[in-house]
Amino acid sequence: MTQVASLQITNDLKEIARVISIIEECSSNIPLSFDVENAIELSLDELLTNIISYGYNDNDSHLITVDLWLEGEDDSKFVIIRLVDDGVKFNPLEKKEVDLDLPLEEKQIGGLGIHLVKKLMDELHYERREDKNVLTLKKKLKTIKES
Amino acid sequence: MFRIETENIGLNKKIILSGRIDGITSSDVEKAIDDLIAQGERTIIIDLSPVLYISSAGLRIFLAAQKELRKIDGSLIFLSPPDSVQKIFEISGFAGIFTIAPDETFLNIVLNGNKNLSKAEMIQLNGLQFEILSLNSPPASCFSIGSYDKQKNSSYSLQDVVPVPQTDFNFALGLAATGIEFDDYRNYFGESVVINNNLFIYPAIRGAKVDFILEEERVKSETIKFLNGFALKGSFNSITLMKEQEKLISLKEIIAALSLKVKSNLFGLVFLAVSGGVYGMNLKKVPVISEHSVPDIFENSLFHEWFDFPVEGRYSNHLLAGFGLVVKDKSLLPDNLKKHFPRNTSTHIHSLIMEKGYLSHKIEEFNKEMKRIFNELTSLKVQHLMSDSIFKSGFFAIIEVES
Repeated sequence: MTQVASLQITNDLKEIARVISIIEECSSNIPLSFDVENAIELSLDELLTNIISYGYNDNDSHLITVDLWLEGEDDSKFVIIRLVDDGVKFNPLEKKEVDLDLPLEEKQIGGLGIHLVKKLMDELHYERREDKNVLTLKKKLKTIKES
Repeated sequence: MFRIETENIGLNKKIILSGRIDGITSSDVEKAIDDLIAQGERTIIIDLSPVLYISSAGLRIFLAAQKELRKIDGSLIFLSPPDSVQKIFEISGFAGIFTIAPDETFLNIVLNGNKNLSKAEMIQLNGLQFEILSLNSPPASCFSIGSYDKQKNSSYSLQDVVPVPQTDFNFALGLAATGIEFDDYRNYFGESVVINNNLFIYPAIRGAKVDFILEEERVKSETIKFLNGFALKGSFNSITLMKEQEKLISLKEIIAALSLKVKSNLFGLVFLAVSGGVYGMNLKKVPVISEHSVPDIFENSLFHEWFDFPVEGRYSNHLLAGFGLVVKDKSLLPDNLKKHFPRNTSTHIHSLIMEKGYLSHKIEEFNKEMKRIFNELTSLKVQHLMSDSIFKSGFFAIIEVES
């Protein structure tokens, strides 16, 4: 296991840009393919936006922890991302799937963010631990030659 | 950085978005679309080619706008989403509710319907029959990379390496490698070609395989290490299709015919074709400096040690994909570009030689067909292509270069 990044942000939407720029920097060091980098950025953007916008019932300042590390060997390497927040209990895995086949008129405008995360990541794991939401995401790395 | 521009495209309006469309910028996108709807626009084109990133905040804006527009018989049309955005559209189910035009050719067809299919016309040039589709594109910019001087003596070293960011161009050729440290890649330079952001390198070593990085696999921060060559940033001014002719046609004849339709003196040629016999050459050894001094690799005694250059045509019926520059009158060329056309040559082209295969004959599918072939077929070599090479049929696209 190789720790890549570990940071704490406050529940302010402006903080997301900071997370993204740190991820961009890390992924050029690893380096990650454009595809994987984009999947990670997008997932973090969607999940953090959700937590910050809907996760809190008060106006206090809260901390959200973001950890990113690598696991596995040559052919099966993974990026693992863990998000921990003390907001209201929210398990994205229990959210109803968006129905992509609905005609435009009936299509729901919301819910796409979580759907994207589920599609872009290889594994999602949720647990409620000590009044905190702990969400772990796993993404397989592609080698450059694989296509 | 994020930018929004609005411009006219025929009778419609086009919004060009650049950069990131996320929770912060999506309200600007929403306003730009709402403003156009308020001004009475009904078919609105959203050019996504310079978009780096889109999150669900952006998707929501498009979905809401499409709902509004449908009520008044209008719609959004997306133009040229990059692969990363296309992928997000697909997993969001956007493909079914939006029209997505992969390029301007397709957009023209969408906007003008069948009327536009006749926009592709048949022409006869020097006795050759072509189908031609003219596109509105500004002239491309061209730049030289590195120098050819040290190839002859095999004396390239670290200081001759020119790292070029992959996003600075969409077409290029030269002697190149990929990697971070010179010591890691110094032995892997080879003939290379970049076609529409897809990179192919054939390392000049025994038993080499073609190394490639397709558009969607590019790493933003990584550069391609060139020793020499040139690059273009631009898009097609025309696409032509040559179906099988009664006799075999050389590349030289095709170029002479196409030149009649090209306005600029210097132009980029991009092709996807079926070979009738390739005359090409590639380096067998990497011309970087070593302890042995080399007098001149082009000289008779050394030539065959350094170059693979068979005298008979090979690879008949294989598919070829290539890029290069063609000059009509070399004397009009600025000195910094003359060096790309040594001796009496007026073309400098690198071609990817792939497995045998079939090509679509639908001119509007050129880009799609290229993408399919790069994804599905195995590449055997990248070679410097001689204009004596024989072509059976294929697509030939022209990129005019600003003078």
